[in-house]
Amino acid sequence: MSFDRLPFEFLPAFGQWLLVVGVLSALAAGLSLVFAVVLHGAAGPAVAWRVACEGVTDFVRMSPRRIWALTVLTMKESLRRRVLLIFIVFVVLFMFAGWFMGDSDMRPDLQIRNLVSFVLRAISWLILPLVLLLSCWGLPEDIRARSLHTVVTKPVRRSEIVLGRIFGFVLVGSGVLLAMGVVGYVWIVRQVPEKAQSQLVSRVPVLGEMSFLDSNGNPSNKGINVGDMWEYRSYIEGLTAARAIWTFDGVDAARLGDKLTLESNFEAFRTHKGKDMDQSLLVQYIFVKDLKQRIVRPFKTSADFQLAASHMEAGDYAKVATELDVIADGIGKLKVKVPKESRQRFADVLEREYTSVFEPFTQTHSSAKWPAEFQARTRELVAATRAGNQKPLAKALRALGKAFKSHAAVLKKEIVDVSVEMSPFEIAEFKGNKQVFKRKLPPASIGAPQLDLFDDLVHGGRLRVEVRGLERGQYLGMARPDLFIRLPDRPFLSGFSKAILANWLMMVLITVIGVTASCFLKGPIAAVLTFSLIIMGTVFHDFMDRLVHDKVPGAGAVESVFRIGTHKNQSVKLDDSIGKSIMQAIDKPLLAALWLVFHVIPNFNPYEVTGWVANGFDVPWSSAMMTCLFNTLAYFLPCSVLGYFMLRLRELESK
Amino acid sequence: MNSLTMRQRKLVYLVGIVILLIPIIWLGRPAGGSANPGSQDALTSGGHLSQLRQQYDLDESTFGNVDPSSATMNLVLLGLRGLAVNQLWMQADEQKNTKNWAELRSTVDSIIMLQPHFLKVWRFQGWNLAYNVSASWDSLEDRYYWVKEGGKFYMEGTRRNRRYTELYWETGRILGNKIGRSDEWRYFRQYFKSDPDKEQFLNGQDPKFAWAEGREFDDNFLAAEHWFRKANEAELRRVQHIMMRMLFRFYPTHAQIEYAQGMQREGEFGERPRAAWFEAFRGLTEEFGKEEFRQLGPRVMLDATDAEVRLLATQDGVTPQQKRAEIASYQAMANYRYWRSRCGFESEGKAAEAHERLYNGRKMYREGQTNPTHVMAVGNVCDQPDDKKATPAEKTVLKLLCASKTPIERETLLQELLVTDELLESMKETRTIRFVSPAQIELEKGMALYAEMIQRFPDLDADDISIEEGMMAVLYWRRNYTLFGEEGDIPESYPLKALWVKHKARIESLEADFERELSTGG
Repeated sequence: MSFDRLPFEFLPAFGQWLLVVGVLSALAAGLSLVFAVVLHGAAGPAVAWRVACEGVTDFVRMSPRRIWALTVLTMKESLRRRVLLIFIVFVVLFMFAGWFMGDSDMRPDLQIRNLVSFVLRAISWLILPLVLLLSCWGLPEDIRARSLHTVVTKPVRRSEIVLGRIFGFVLVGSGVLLAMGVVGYVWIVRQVPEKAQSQLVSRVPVLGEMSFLDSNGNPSNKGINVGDMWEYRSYIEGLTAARAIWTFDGVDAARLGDKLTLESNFEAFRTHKGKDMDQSLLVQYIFVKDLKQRIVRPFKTSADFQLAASHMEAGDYAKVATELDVIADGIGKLKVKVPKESRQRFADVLEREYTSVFEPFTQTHSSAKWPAEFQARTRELVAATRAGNQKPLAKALRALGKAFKSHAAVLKKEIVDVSVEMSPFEIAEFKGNKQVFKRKLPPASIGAPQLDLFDDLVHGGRLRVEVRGLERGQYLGMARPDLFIRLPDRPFLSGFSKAILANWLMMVLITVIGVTASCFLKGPIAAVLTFSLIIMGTVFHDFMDRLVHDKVPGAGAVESVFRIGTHKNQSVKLDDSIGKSIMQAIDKPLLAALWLVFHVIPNFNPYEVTGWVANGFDVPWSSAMMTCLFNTLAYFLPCSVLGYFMLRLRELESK
Repeated sequence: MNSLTMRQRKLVYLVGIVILLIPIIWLGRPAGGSANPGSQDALTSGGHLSQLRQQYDLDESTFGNVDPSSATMNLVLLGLRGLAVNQLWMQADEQKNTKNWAELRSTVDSIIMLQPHFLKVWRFQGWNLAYNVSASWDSLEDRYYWVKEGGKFYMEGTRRNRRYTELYWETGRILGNKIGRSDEWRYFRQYFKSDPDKEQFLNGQDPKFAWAEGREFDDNFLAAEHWFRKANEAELRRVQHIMMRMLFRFYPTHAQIEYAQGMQREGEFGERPRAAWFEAFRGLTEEFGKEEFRQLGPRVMLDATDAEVRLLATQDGVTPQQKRAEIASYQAMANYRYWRSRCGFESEGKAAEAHERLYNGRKMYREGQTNPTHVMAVGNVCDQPDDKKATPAEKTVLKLLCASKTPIERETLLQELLVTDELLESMKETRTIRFVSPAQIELEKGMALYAEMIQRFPDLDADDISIEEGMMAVLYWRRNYTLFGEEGDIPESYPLKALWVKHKARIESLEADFERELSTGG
């Protein structure tokens, strides 16, 4: 699994949910209308409308007391079905787990990973069939045994039945999961050798944004590929200008205390082995405050601004102003035309960098006017650049140039680059290198001033850390999660309980789907459907994602069939013809349908958080738990509504 | 109508059950657990089916130690073992590519549980752990750990599959080749003797890796030899499919040779390596050389006496000359004559001394003991009559040098004989004496012994290792003169000159090795 997940963004996710639910609802409404007309003729629309209104009423007027009663009933029936027998399997597994686990000669860190992985996977694999069978067989069994009839003859709404079932199964599963979680936690703690107990923690990482400089010191998207099949890591060459750069935000003494703890997990790649093969490769951190580089950076995105950029690097702000005036004149007279992509890039970088540089100054230099002035000029220039109108753009450039000129002295003083090289250390692969830096950094040389990490190197909460290798011909491999700021550790229970919570959310999702399926299908079929959705959502989800977002080379379904039949692979271009147009025209709605199916089938991959806990990390809320939570919630309402209508329309007499 | 009562019917059924039990027990009774699989006891214990299984080697226990978890897993999967195995193999490959070592190890164990008697699984995964996974780590201790994991994996394989000859051999290969001949050999051999995991093994060996069958091995090659011998024993029961039989059975002797060579590579000379070489010679000539191989028809014995040659010729219906020719070709295949000469050569005390002096001489050079601080007489000047033109002082010096068996320190000559530097320089110019450094003294002694041994064992003159050792010694010796700009002072005749001249095409590559040795310290 990758530790490099993006944080969950609620608004885009909610927007997409609304779109999918909207489309599906529209489809459902359309289909219902068609069926109503077919069954009831001209009165069909009225019938459909009436059923819809009754559905809304049923949901709005649900009684919590009745739902709870049905929940309790569901729980009792589940217990009567001897669900607790699953504990026997659980206990047997753990009693004989020693047979299946590696021997005690294995290194402690590897042992811990195996133990934690085993426990969490055993729990999720055991809970899955339990809730799947319970939720899929519950209602159909009741219908078959006619015990549901005794319920529906009472003043109970179908929606209450559906929700009662869901909550009942969830509560039963929760009890089982909680018990397994407790037993699993205790078992892990007891199995871990005494000397490795200190490794049972949940590390809390703060990840940064990563970029590279190549061997010549030029910015690059990624490092070198040394031929590793797994392209997770990029490599930088030692003893060259190559760097891997991490930019951390939110760095302040209040959050970190009076020290900065960096933990790394770099990989070594040697092009030669020599007398020093018993020594690990050396790595060095360089802490950088690059304010000047940041204000120069936007002007390096376009060739037209290169001269201005070089003046800025030299600190000659008067000449910067002069140059910007020249460019503004050129734009005004339409002699300088900046292409749209270039403008967009310039505006994005300008906004990002200038905001990050000047905004903190508005707080630290609240009485001074220049930070606010630069903020304002930046906003104007960004807006004008994006709009692309010549005259406002020229005006904004001149205004910015004027700001540079009038505040040249203070810019020379405040906008500086500072870098501090820390002592090199030896790399320790796959074990985690922890380096602790006190707030007061050691002076670079005798007589040099002692810098404060937070006061002198962090700006606006942002710290830039450059990493370089110190051995010629040897390479260091790194990915974004390979360097992080380590906040104070949380206890192992924190990560473990979140993993159990993720399992619980998955269990709720499966229960919801299973109960919904059981509302319109018989038990075995509902179980097969639910299981298939789980398989598709786990194994095939990534593939569908690539298909839907056009990341798989090839064509749509119809064109692919044609190509298979005519032995033409993807590299062969089809001649433009009516046939090709027809195929592509058919493929488009098919892909659209696949898009819809892709968003209907739940994604079970986010629930896989075992890797975090097994590798000693706390499970992050923003990029893992929130995804699980909203994933589950996203299915709860639509499935409940679907289950209600299915149950309502179902003929309970026919088994 | 059945006239029997219910009770009577039940009695009849009961009697029928008892009667039927007799053949069932005779057929299906399991073997007693105490009998060794394959032994006579096992063949006669248990029911008829059990005895047949033992006889035809079909019983789980005849493969090796039975692992109850493996049997359980296979049963629990209800016939889906193939699917599970496929999935596990793919998983293991993915875990290796994504460097997920803990899970890889666990997955490999799971694969073995489902396929305990599939040879390829053991061979591939053991190699995978010891070579691929090991190479992915940077730290030497970590690499060694994974080499051990591969070795232990093979050892487990031999316990679970006693019949598979290949697994014993693979174990020996890890212990011999991977530990003793890889780039990290210097460290791995040290770690074999003292495991780097001090916490667990308290500066001692890892017994699960370094020991076998109650024997403790203090050298990896000795452990390798033990496993190769076991492979040879197993090979007598079941054919191996790794290589030609004759070459396969050479491995225990080869491991013994490596053991001796390993000590010399590490700078140990003297009785221990000499004894090891002698043991290798004995194993070569008395064990391997006396084995009869039947390769594609003809019978051969690599170290056959005349009588044995005649016997083999008679058996094969060929003339003794033809038999000798056949034997010669197989000897060439195994490089038998070379190893025989080499082991014989190294078993001699002088060879050990030669190696030691050459080794020390090179080391002294690298340590900087290259100043020409000693004086010795040139060549055969001591055997010639007195030069009438020589001054008394010169004669005194020569007399002293000729009487002394070892070069004399220049300072000693200057102080004791009260001669001057100018006198010594002029004697050097007239080539009656020469100045030598301590490194050169040591090298020359070694070179002289080496030359003597090569003369006694001419086969070594064609051996790359011997040639390179001799040439390198000469190169060091000559370079000492070059250091002080005294190339012209290199004597016309010196030990191993013939070797130097004969193989001068190798000088260029040797010089590259020389530079590398200087920079890395050996």
